[in-house]
Amino acid sequence: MAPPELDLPLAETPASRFLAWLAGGLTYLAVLAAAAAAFAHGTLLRLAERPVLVTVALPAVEDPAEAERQLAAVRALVESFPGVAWTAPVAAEEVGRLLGPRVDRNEDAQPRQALPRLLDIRFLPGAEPDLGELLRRVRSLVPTALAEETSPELSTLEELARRVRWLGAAAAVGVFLLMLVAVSAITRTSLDLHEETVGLLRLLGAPDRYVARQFERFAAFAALSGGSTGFVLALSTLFALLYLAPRFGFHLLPVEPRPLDWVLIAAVPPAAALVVTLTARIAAAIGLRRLH
Amino acid sequence: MDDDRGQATILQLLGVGMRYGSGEEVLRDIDLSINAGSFHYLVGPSGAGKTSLLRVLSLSRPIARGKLVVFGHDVRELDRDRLGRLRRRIGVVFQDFRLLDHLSVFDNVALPLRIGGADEERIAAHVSQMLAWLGLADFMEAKPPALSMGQRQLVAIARAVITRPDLLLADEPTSNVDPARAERLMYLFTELHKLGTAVILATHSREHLRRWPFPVLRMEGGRLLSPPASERLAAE
Ligand SMILES: Nc1ncnc2c1ncn2[C@@H]1O[C@H](COP(=O)(O)OP(=O)(O)OP(=O)(O)O)[C@@H](O)[C@H]1O
Ligand SMILES: [Mg+2]
Repeated sequence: MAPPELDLPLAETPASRFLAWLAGGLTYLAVLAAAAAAFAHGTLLRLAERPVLVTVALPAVEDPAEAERQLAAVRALVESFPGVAWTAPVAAEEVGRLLGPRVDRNEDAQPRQALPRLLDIRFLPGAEPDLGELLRRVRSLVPTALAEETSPELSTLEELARRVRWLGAAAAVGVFLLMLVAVSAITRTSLDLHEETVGLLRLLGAPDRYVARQFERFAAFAALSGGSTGFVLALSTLFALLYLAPRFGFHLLPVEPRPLDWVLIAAVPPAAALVVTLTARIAAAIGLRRLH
Repeated sequence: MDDDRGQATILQLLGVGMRYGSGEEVLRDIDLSINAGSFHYLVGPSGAGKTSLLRVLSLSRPIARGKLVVFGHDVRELDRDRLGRLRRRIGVVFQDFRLLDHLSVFDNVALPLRIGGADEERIAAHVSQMLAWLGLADFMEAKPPALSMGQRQLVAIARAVITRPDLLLADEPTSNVDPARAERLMYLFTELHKLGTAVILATHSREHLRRWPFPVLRMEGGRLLSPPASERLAAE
């Protein structure tokens, strides 16, 4: 991409040339930071979607018919509870196995006493049931019933994803702020370097917005040329991390990019270009007002 | 109101003084009135203040004292945008040309038109016609450092007149060109003058004063010696 033909020789000053490198580097970092935040957010959403599993325990009842009737009543009650996908009584053998040596058994290894009954409850994905209310309702039928959430523990993964999301978002914001500061500084510097030419343009009747537009156009060029390079490099890096690293046995977070993540990632370079361009325009306008 | 083209007086100076930085005044008590469409020479020994006066008139240096009215506007009362609008009506040929070395000859000459917001089609037509007329058709894409002093001076003149300004200020515009070119330039200036541009031309050339007789503003030691209308070289 050739730099725009401008009245100010901005492409020839090192400070301005540095702008393209800066825009490229910062776009690269911003894309990676935004990707990390987006992917971590996606992971958290998936973790939140995982269905809640609850097991309700009913104490042993001697009379099998009564036990059967009680279990059926509890099932009916639980299945009418909002968010429940299905319920399944745990087989007696399984209960016996779970209780293990604590069960008094006869010579055929059959329990001598009646066993407590367990009922597995699976909620719909994403449902956030009020388990206290569920237990209260079950206890209205069986006052000594117990309930326990049995979903697998994922808190470390969740904690890690939360931290990555926070760091990624903070880093992206930080990179944008850095861009703002650096672009203003560079614009001020080149304004000083080209003070004489600016003076001539003014003498030819150029209003400040005409002069500021010179800086803006150059910044837009730098942001687009540098930024697109940074974007391509960032995508290559992401691709390597997401698809190549696992092949060589390196597994990062369980990342499954959503289409929305890619939309967000693709929005970073235009946003960066916009920030660079607007910053250059505003910094130039302020600098010009200061220039006698 | 900017529509004061028809007004008789386009420049008016009352007791104007000017200094560079904190030095002493290099222009003192200048009273001057210039009418639309007039033609004046500005003469005087080296260091008399001709360039300084042209800098004041081109609104490139502020005055230290007095009052300067340009196209009916007291310049001290104007903000920068309105000052820019007045400057666009003034063409200036600087003694040191002040061309932009990184731009082609074409783009240098096109600059005032671009600043004024003209469309590229008109710019292309105007600029190439002007450069051809000045014998610079083969140098349109050249950069100023590749040109001779005389050629640079022509480019500077082309840039000053390309917008057909209401006022043309030229600081020794023929000092670097051969007599044939100088004659062509004087023809250009007098033609512009006939079309309604007021011209003030600083010069050391007695030859010009004789061949193209116009009122003379004479300077010495930062002062204007005589009111212009009273002195006509033609009458000598
Ligand atoms: N940029 C400047 N800074 C300080 N002093 C200056 C500057 N330009 C001119 N002067 C001084 O102002 C005075 C008038 O100079 P000026 O250039 O206006 O004279 P001039 O009539 O144009 O001379 P010449 O015929 O040599 O071009 C001189 O004493 C000069 O030294
Ligand atoms: Mg001079």
